[in-house]
Amino acid sequence: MAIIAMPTSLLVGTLTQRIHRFDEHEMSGETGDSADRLLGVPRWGMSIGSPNKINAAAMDDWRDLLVRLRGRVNFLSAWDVKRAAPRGTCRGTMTLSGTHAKGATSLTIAVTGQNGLTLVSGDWLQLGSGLTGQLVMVVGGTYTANTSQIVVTVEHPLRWQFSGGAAVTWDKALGHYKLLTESIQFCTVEGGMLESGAGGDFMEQW
Amino acid sequence: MLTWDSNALAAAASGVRGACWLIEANFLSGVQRMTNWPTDVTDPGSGNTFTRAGNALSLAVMNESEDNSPGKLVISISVADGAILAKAIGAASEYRNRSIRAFLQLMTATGVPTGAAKQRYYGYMESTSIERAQPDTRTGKAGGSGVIKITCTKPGLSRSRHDDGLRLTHAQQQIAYPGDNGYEYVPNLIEKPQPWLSVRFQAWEPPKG
Repeated sequence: MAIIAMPTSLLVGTLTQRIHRFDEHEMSGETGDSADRLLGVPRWGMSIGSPNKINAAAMDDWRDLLVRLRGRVNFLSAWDVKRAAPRGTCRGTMTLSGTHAKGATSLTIAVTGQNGLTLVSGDWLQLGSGLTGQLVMVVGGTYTANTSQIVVTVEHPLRWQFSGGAAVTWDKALGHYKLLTESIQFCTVEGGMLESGAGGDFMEQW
Repeated sequence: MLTWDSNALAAAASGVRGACWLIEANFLSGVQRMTNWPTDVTDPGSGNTFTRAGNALSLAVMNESEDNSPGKLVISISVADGAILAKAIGAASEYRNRSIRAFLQLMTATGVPTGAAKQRYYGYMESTSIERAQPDTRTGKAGGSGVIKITCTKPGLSRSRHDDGLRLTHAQQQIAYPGDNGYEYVPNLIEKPQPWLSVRFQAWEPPKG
């Protein structure tokens, strides 16, 4: 199983993001009191599609990407094209400060030279790398760095433990996905002059 | 009786908690520990780590009751799991009559195991089968799947089958509770059922014509 990276030149027409949760809901018919049971950890999901009416060269990026995925064999590593970098201002090299346990939602991230700069709700961070990493989203407002670190709250909770020093990537934070749809397609429009309709639905896998 | 430790009890009593199965299969060549949770799970009680089999592992509905019905448990594992596949299609001695246990592990709302896992099933692996669902070739859709099914039976199955009708006797009740005659006439009632029909009912005849 290879990891196929989304090319930076890929023209993305539509991008829909989802959260897949696997919870069971139980409710008393008499009192309405309810309980929820998690049957698994939540996963990010997304659907990406090509713009309508692109030329053959632009569609070749899509063809190359989707064909190399080999259906559900390979993983797609992709970032949020509309938020490739945080809306917050914090940049530079980030690493996790200290061990972060499974289930943690508060991250202490070591940074240098970022005093007073921020990460805000909706910013993506990638912890670690590859399939042992995790894509998380900053939630809960604005967080400001001091001279050595920034403490942020994220979702989803860490699905496994991360060691101190693990890389935190803010530039094109990657999630790893597999195709949900059973087939992919490419359409020719405008009498063969242009192409359209490539894309697929994906769910995070590891 | 099912007793939880305080951590598991807190999770069970909370409005939101996670739960997963931990399977410990004692194959001849070694113990395999698997969970249906999508990440590896370490049981805080035993300290054993159960490897995620994710969607590859599922349990047929597990019924918990105190009767002596010969309940079978079927554990399905994806054929994609090479380690299990090798065992399941290997020599029967690899799995036949080898013990298998299923534990219920409670989780917090953030997916952290909490409290010691509780054993909910103990049995023996009886037979394995591999079932494949063919992809739909007519529509060209993918989606074929294959699972290894391990059928497990409870210990004492043979006795359960043969003594399904075994009941407490008057003699046993006298030993446990001297003087309690509740079972005194039970054998008589079972062996010689007597329809208690009223005189009027017995005299009744269906209307003619």
